[in-house]
Amino acid sequence: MSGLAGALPFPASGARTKAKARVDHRNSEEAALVRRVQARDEIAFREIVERYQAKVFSIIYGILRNHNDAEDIAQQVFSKIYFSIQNFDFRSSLLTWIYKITVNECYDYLRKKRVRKLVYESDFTEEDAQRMQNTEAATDQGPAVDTQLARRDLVLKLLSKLSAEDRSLLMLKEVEGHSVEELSQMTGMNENTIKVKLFRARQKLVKAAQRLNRGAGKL
Amino acid sequence: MHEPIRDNLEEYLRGSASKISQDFHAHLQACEDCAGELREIEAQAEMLHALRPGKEIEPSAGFYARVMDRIEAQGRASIWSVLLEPAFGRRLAVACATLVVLLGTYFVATELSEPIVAVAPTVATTIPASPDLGARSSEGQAAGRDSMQQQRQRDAVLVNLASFHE
Repeated sequence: MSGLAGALPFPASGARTKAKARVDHRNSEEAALVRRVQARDEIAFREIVERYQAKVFSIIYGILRNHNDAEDIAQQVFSKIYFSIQNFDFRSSLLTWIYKITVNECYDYLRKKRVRKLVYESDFTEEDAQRMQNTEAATDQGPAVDTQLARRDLVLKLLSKLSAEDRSLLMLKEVEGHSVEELSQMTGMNENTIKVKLFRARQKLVKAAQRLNRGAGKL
Repeated sequence: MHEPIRDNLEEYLRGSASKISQDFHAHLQACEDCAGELREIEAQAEMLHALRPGKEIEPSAGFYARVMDRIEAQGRASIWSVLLEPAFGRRLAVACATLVVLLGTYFVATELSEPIVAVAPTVATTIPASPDLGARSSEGQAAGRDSMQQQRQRDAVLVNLASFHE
């Protein structure tokens, strides 16, 4: 794998890429809504919450697979949006910005949970054990569920090695299924930049996975 | 990873066969390194799909009210957030820096002037026999006498003024 490769542009694809009309995130209906929220219009904020709550919930649920956690983190996400919308600079779409905040909040939560788990590992009650047994019985459909959980844990661990920007870009591409062209419109970056960033993020993931495998092999 | 693969990677992973150039497949057959790396990247893209939620999830009723409750609770406790607000924080930092510079300048200036004040009496007391200093002390005594005389004259004027009224 060439280290230089990641630093180089993509001339061939750049030549092929047609000049696309840039989406102006400053002069859209969404921008007007954001400006109203920036002026502390609570009706506008309510509109944002109602427009994006299902999306935010789905993103969180996709990462954590827990409804209670999803509610708590979704509240935190919208609270963060309320307090930091003054800093929204209209370079990207509102959804891209919200997506990044949501994924970051999930990672904050996972980090805190990991710390709590280390501190309170001995607080595993009888009730917890019973609940876990029931869950295992209810989901006793062979190794598929376990494998899925292990895969999700591994991919979350690998994604934690990326920067917040790379992580949300890769997730928008692979989890949300957006094309490079759509990502370019959403983020305000050109398609070549998106491709370079995605390629580097993928390379980092491959390297992180190799390191993890080497570490597991040593044990 | 070599250019023909890198250039077409996103199209390939998306399954857009029509957008992939001929070079891609030709290079993939010839280059074992690229083929291996591509397999790893494909496997990871597949793993990322595990984070897809499957269905859209709606929060339970009253979600907006709960969000506003949280905002209110966080807003009350956020006096520090005013201090940490970027514009205000910058001004505060500049003011603090200016204050530190002024205080520093003041202390340096006073420390430089202090030794001169402290040395003068020592010299005066350790060398009392100097004729020059003796002359200086007699000049001081004469000045003291003048001021006493002036005071007496002032008192006399005040007495005169008071008696004039009576």
